[in-house]
Amino acid sequence: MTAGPVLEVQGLTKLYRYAGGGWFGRRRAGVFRAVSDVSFSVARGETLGIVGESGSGKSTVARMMLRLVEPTAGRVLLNGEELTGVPADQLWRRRRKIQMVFQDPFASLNPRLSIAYHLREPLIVHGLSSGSEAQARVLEMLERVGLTERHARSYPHALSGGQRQRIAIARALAVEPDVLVADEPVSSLDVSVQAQILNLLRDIRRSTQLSMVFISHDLGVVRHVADRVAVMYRGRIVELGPASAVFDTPRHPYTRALLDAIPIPRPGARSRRASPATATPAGATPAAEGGGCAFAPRCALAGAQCLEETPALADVGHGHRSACFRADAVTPPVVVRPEETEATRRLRRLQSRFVTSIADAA
Amino acid sequence: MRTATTPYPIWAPATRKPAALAPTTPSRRATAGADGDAGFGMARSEPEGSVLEVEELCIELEIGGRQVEVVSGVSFRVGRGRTLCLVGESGCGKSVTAMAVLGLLPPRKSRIASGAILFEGIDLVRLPERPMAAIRGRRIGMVFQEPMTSLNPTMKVGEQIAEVLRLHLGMNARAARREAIRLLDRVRIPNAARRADDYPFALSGGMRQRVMIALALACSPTLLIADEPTTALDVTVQADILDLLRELQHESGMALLLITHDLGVVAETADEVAVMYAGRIVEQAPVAALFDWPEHPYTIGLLGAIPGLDSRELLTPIQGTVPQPGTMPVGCRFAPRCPFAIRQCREETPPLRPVGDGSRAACWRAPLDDA
Repeated sequence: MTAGPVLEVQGLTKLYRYAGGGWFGRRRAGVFRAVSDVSFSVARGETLGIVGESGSGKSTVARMMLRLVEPTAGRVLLNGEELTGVPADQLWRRRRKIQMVFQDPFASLNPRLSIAYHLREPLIVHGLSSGSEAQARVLEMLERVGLTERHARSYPHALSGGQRQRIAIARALAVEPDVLVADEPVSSLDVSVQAQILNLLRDIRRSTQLSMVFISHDLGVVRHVADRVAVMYRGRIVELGPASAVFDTPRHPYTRALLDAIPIPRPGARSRRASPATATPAGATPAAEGGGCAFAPRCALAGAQCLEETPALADVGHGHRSACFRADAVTPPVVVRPEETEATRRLRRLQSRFVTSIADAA
Repeated sequence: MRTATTPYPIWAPATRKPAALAPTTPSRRATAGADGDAGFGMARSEPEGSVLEVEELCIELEIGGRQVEVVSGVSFRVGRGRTLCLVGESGCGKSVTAMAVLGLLPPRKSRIASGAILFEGIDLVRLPERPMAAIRGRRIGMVFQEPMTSLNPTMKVGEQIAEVLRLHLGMNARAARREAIRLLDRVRIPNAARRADDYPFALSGGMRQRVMIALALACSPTLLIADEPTTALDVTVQADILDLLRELQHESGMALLLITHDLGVVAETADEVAVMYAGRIVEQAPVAALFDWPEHPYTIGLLGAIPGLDSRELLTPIQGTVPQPGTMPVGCRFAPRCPFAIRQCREETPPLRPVGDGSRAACWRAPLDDA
């Protein structure tokens, strides 16, 4: 592959038209903009995190990348070749290079098929291997996600949520994709298990140069896995940049509001919430379609310009972009960093006992 | 259900004062007492202090035609104006415990095998349904995870609140509506008078949860039980709802039993914390002590498994998975996943015992520092 980005998304847009009527005849016919003009690229071995709250369009973007949802406009380029526009009967072949892992591992596995079958089928469909060779590859994949031969013979119901998600990951990786799109892959898992999967994904990424698009509503999770982060709000990317920059010095008031809202598992870590935005705008009126920044009604920094023009995603330096006219006025969140004390050292020492080989974490 | 005229004087509420005028405790800290142990000691000697006392509670559920113990010997206390967080992963028994306190366990499918639930001195375990119904919703408020399933979709939200006021407090229709609007306003719903005539579907998730909280607070309960009240909400909305709960608690001095799986929520709301694992409380401590100096390996592991905002260090996952009810390991139930486990852990159940600083841990290896 060349030095160019593995995945490039340009101007991706999804409009949903809806008929009038609706419940109690309250709704007029119109167009809902689920995703507006989303562009980004992902380099080889890089993980792009997409964060946003429910309804921000992050899952729609994920689905459009694989054309599980057809984009209304925009292009998806995989290794420089356009995925959008490929006729439907040839699409599956191209999709081998871009695989997806979904939130609910139970819904994405067939309850009547064995785990081995789930892992073998993509190999056969794509003509990668067959017979005993495929069988060997299945075991190799299981091992890679920390499972054993014993699991190959079992059925989805016999596995825990974490194990099922391992299978979903193994299946996605079996066909050696260049890009893995993971849509809330750990959201349905318990914290202790979630950490197993996050570490697994990190391990895989390090050893294979896999590119990843990791979608989550959980900023802590994204902080942990992503090299770069895109923050979405109402169908648009409002901030995009290196993870450390976005989290430590956000340049969009919405990102700042998100960071302020996350409860930190350390009592007294935050003096008091002093967010430049409120979660629920007075009167709770959604921003008017078209004109102005969608976040303006919630934004304490909003001026007259914000209500009239839609800010474009503009460079604010060091590969960091923000769609805000007042980007310079956004201050970093106030977080009391943990001091190095006897207690923190003790805790780390004790926690290190939990770390064993990540591969056999199951 | 005409609970307003219940013939059981012992459960009748004190003369109701409008919530805004309800006596407020000076501050949460003032009621906490000087020592950090206020929530947990065996202090039966200060009945004034605790609103809810759960003692050695064991609950059985029928799973696959078999009686399975899902909560084993759980004890805790919640003091007036205090917040106790029950924290744990799915299936640890935290919600079942809350349901037991509310008397909402499914009747034939479950059973409180032993133990007591003392609410203001009344044992709710032995209370018949009728007086229980008079307490539930009036003196114990409740908020659940998904407000949409807890609200009646065919009733305007204002009417739902007014109904509670009419039933429990015998208000007339006009007074009840006025009070409902005041309550909606109190939970910071903008344009409360207009919103009162909305149906639940017309409200956002956060607004619905505010309506639920208004409903729960309608009768000025002395105890509010909130089971994952913010789990279904976006983070910015969650922050607002948690702030709201804190403010309301501060105003009214009610006790709060908050059930959550999120240690971040715990750190920002709790006074005391009880960590549950596989049906048992494994550690109980004042919130600062729990995060600063945890003693149970499960707590220690959990704290290391949360991806935080300030570091990209390797997470320390807990190997394996939570045991299923009915297949509990002998001895300490965490032992199979515990890097500190010794033979004794796999043979004998560790009791919850003091480990200093008002903390208690159910671990044979505690204190762990020389481990």
